Amino acid sequence: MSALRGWPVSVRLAALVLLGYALLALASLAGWLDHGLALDVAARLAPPSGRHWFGTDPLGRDVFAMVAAGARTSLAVALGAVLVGLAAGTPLGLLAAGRGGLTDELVARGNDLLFAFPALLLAVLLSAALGPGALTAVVAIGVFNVPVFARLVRGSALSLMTRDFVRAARLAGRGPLAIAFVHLLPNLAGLLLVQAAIQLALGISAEAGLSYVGLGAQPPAPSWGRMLNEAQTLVGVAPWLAVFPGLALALAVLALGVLGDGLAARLDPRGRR
Amino acid sequence: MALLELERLGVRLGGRMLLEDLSLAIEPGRVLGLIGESGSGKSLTALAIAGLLPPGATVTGQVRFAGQPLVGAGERALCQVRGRGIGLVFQEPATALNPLLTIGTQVAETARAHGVPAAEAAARAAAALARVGLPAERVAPQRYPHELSGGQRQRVAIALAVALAPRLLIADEPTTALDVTTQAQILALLTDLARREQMALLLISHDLAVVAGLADEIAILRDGRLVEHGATRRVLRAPASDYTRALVRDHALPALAPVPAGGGEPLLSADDLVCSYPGPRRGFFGRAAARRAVDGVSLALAAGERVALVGESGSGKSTLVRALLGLEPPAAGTVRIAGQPLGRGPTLRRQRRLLQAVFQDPVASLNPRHRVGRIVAEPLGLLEAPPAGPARAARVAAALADVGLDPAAAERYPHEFSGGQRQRIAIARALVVEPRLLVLDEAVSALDASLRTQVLELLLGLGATRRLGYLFVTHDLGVVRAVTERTLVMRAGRIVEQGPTAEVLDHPRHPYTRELVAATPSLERALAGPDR
Repeated sequence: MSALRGWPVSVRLAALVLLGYALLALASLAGWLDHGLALDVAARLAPPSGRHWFGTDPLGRDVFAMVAAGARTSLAVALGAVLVGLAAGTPLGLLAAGRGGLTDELVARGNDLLFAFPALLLAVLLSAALGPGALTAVVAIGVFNVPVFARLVRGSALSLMTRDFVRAARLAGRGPLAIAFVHLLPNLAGLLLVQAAIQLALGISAEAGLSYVGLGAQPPAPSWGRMLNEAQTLVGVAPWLAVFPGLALALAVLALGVLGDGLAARLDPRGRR
Repeated sequence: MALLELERLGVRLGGRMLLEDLSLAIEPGRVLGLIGESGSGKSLTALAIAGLLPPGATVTGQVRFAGQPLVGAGERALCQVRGRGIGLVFQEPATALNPLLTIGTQVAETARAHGVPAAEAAARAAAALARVGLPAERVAPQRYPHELSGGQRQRVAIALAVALAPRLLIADEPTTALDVTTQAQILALLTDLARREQMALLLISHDLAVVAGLADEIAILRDGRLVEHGATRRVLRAPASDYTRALVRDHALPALAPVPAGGGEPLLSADDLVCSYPGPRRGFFGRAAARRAVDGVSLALAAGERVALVGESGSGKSTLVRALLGLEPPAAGTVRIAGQPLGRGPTLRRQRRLLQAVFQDPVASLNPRHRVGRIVAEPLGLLEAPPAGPARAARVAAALADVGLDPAAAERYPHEFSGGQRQRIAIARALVVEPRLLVLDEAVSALDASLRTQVLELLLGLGATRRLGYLFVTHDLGVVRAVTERTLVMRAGRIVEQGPTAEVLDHPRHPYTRELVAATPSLERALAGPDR
């Protein structure tokens, strides 16, 4: 907990919430909640109680276990998408900043193209090609993270490159790769971390959106978006079916947003005391 | 009665006393110079007088303006005093003006804020701009700040401050961001305004020569305390405190130890060098004609030679330096190091081993995330057999010792050092591969006088013991005279004059050099006149 000292209460709370999600996802991954996912028609549509904290669905599955399993899917897809964005966007941004000229122009226009392309259309195209599923969601969301990171890295790298320590490194005989890894990336890491938190939040809601329209994780893999979709017709009878996955989704996005803001404030030297 | 009185003024911020027990007074129509190094509390004094201290600062003592106490006065009362009673001019004219408003509107704004009707405010603005040397027929009030030069922008900032004819003008480092020639014009304007309009002037500066030439009285601050105060000439001719003595001594730079001029093949030469920047885009494909920042420069430096490159900002000297260092390719012409054109791969490594550089701002030139040892060791990769392990650490320790730093510094980060120490680290990095020539790009401009002297003495010592030559890029003619044998003067991308330093500075031939020499403030000249 000592790592959290000196941060605002809101950021500490957000970190705790996210830790909770991670533990939930791990518990689900380890199979500790699997018994809750078994069908139990006798206990169908039970309201929240001591036995079923979040109630049960029409097939008698435990909603808490489903939300936990959904956390697994959501976090995995959003993390995967952020990694895709980082892995492709960072080198592209560095390349554009370092080479300039035609390379820079091509990367910039590529970014514009991706920004202009409707995300949902790409997801539909991808699921037509790859079949719907978690991997499709990772690729579809990840592709839209690429220009975000590429632009961020390009802009920051350009401003770092005018700093004299980069000039000094060139005089010291360092090649472009060494300068990128030794001088630019460590100075960009904080910025990338903040952007990653923001993209993670966007990724989680995007994943829920894709699953909701049936383009994300497929049954029986649980997902918040599909839970919301399935709850639609029963919301009058069993509101807990919609409330809990909805809350889980909102809380995760909120916590990541708060964490991102906190990190950004901490990294901004003007905010440092 | 004094116009402004500070009675035991103290400022505490973040638990530290930044200003303590400061008592001073300014008579109407007089000029008081406030001198101090960075962190001495001189800017804080200006902010405390104007009631503009950052939140969280606590003030003790009292400030009286024309008898009215300002400490503890309400914001409304302070607003009346600011602008009407006290005008302020800050260091950086680029940030003191709103980029979205025309200069006429901005000056009129001050008047309108004090209840002057719009039509009269516009007339007052025009008059104020004319008073600072920007009459409407030369510079229309409809222009925006970005359309003006740095000196013109500072004039607008002064017009803002004097629009309502305040009785006291506070100028905080008003010329530090400007060229020497522009500085002379702005200083002349300030003193002229003060004399003509019977305005008292509080001139805050780190530059003894600037203040000595203008101020009737001088006050010297150090670490938030008043060290000495009195008539300018008396204080500077016969300082009572050790600190003032050190300030005056450091201002007179060390004398150059003569070294036999290097002969033979030039170590660094440039042949008809042209560097240009692409013009602004015109339409989708077209571009305006390229701007030539360096326009046909030829030069040669022999081994061990110490040469100055002088010029104002925008003269192209930084671009020239980058081309000489091989950091930006020239549009035409060649740079040769040790007789060979700048190469690639192993050739370039060999050439870089001969030629290293120290940049202006040590904050920007040291990677904040690396330890000093790693920073200093970086150029060792240029050697054919880079040392590793203990041999590498020994090289780093030796380089740090050469610049007078403890080898234990290698374990620490740059931010743990003072500005002068950081510049030493940058010099150690440049020296670690034992180059024959250093390019020093404004390498002492960001340093306080005492640190500047230390760094210059260090460079002089290295020049004498190792026959290390250097190209010293600067706008400070005092430094040029102290540490170089030959001077090149650059203007608008060309070398307009060159020759032995003493000759260029004492008998300048080109009109620009003459202007530059005349504009340089001189402590000796200021102190030579009769007592005021």
